[in-house]
Amino acid sequence: MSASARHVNRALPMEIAPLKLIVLIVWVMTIGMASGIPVFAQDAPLSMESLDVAVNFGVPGQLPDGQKEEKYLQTGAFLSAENDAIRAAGDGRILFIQDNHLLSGGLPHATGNFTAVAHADGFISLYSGKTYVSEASAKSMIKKGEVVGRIAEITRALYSYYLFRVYDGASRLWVNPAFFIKDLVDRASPRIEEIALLGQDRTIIAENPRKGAQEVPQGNYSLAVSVTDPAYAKGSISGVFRLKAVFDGKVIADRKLDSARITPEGLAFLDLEAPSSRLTDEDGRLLLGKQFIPRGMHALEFSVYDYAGNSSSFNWKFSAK
Amino acid sequence: MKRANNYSNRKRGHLAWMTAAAVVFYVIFAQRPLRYEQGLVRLDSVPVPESDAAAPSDRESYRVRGRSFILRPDQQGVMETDRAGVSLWTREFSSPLTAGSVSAAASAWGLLNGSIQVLDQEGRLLDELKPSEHAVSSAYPCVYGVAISENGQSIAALYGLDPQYFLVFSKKNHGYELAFEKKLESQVVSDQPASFSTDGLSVIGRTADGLAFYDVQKRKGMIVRADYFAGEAELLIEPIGLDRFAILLAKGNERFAGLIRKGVIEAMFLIEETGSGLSVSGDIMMIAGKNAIQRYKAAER
Repeated sequence: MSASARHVNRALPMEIAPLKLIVLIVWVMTIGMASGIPVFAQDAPLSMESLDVAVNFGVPGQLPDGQKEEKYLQTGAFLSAENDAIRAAGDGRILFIQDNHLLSGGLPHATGNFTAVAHADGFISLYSGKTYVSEASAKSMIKKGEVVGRIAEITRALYSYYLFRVYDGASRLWVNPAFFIKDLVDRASPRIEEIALLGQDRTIIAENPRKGAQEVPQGNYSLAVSVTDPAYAKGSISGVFRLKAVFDGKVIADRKLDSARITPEGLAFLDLEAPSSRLTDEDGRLLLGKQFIPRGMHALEFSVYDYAGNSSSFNWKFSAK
Repeated sequence: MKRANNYSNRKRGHLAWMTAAAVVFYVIFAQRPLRYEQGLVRLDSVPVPESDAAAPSDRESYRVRGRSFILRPDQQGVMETDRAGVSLWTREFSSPLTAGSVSAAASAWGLLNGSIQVLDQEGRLLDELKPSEHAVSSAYPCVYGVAISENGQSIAALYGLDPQYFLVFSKKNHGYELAFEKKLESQVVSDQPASFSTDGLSVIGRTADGLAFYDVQKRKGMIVRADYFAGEAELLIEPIGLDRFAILLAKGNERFAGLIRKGVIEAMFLIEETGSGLSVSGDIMMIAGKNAIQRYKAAER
């Protein structure tokens, strides 16, 4: 090969590099969208390990006693602390410490104490618990795996878990922490506890198909579902991740609990409206949108998937009059 | 002519002596140890009511300025309740609360993501204040302290990390404008107290450099008494009277009570080390200890 030919061969990749880059970006974004897993999560420099995990991202939570009718959707995962020690998910800068005070006053610590660590690319990880005690200090840069806090020893038996949350400041999203937990093993299928149609003045709850076709008055309804991801003996709870509803063969909802968007009104889960209290009713059911149900026989197929990929389905046939 | 010059020289000499004396007096009195308590008159000590002593600590409830709030367990939402505990409104925030301040007219909530949400009495969003949009640049935006004036016209905040700032915003037309910006040499990463005076004309807030003070009318601010308020210390601040602040300071095992007006410490003295709570009723300052509540009256100026 002549010198000039070698030069051409070397120069060619440089010339097509921008094109390759664009193709690569498009390809990565396509894969990300198709898989339902945001690309940023795959590339994020955070990872956690825990023997016992219970992801509650998107699970309805409630205010303290006396205010139980007020629900909201949660953004974290409970992780077991290894020998009481809680370790940083990645390299970062200690951003905020909420710790025990000598004086009593000011804003109460509703979430217990917590530490927030700012990482590269705008990610912030939060570690909190009712008996959490921070071990970081104001000047601290922290390395992945270093101890950020501990579960107080006296109450270890009662509270060996802490809450882990991840906020993506660059994309203004709360991200499902399941993305960052390594070796998340969950073999139990999520459970559909209840499917209901909420009308203006009536609630129709789906009954066992063996009882025959249910009768439903025609009209506008909100589809409300109550789903859980149960624990099993040797594994974690990866959490409900995807909800899909097909009405008379047409997909009316296919939504993922991958992240919650930040809006001035609060958090928007499932690409629906904010605040999150609007997506759940008093009974803790998720509201997946409205649907007009005309007269006739109908079939509603509802499926739920957890983050690990286990699924459950329910087929509901009813007649509208 | 010569006599006139002598007279002039003597006059200058007197002026120099008076100036020197004033400087010496200033140095002695402004920097003297904080042991004086002329500004506060001790009234009495009353036992802590049994009901209070026995009550479990309610970590979610927040009672301030006659209003009651319940914080969401994830600290990412707040509900105002009436006296019977019935919900008046709820608000969900974009990130966890790190600071809060309540006045009769409004409330300001500082968030971990560096924004301050200003709500009206019904919990509606009046403004979302982002210091980064006011040319205040920090590597890590986060709100470490916030105060709102009684009429909601001014907001102060301890903001950002690398570097950290003490900021004061004033309401102009439809939004808030940056009125004061003090870049701090040292930084904190925990929540710090800040408060406006009842007349809304001055604000103080604790920073790692010392106590930050800003005069709304003069549009001037400064850091006061770094020796006492900087470093490892905890502070509670309550406005008392029109333009004063009652404070309770914890430094190690020592506790100090004090009174501040216009950035000047009028009283500061050691109290028993169990003092942990500060409240104000009219011109009476109350410090709750383990077994007793010490009451002090702010003296007339």
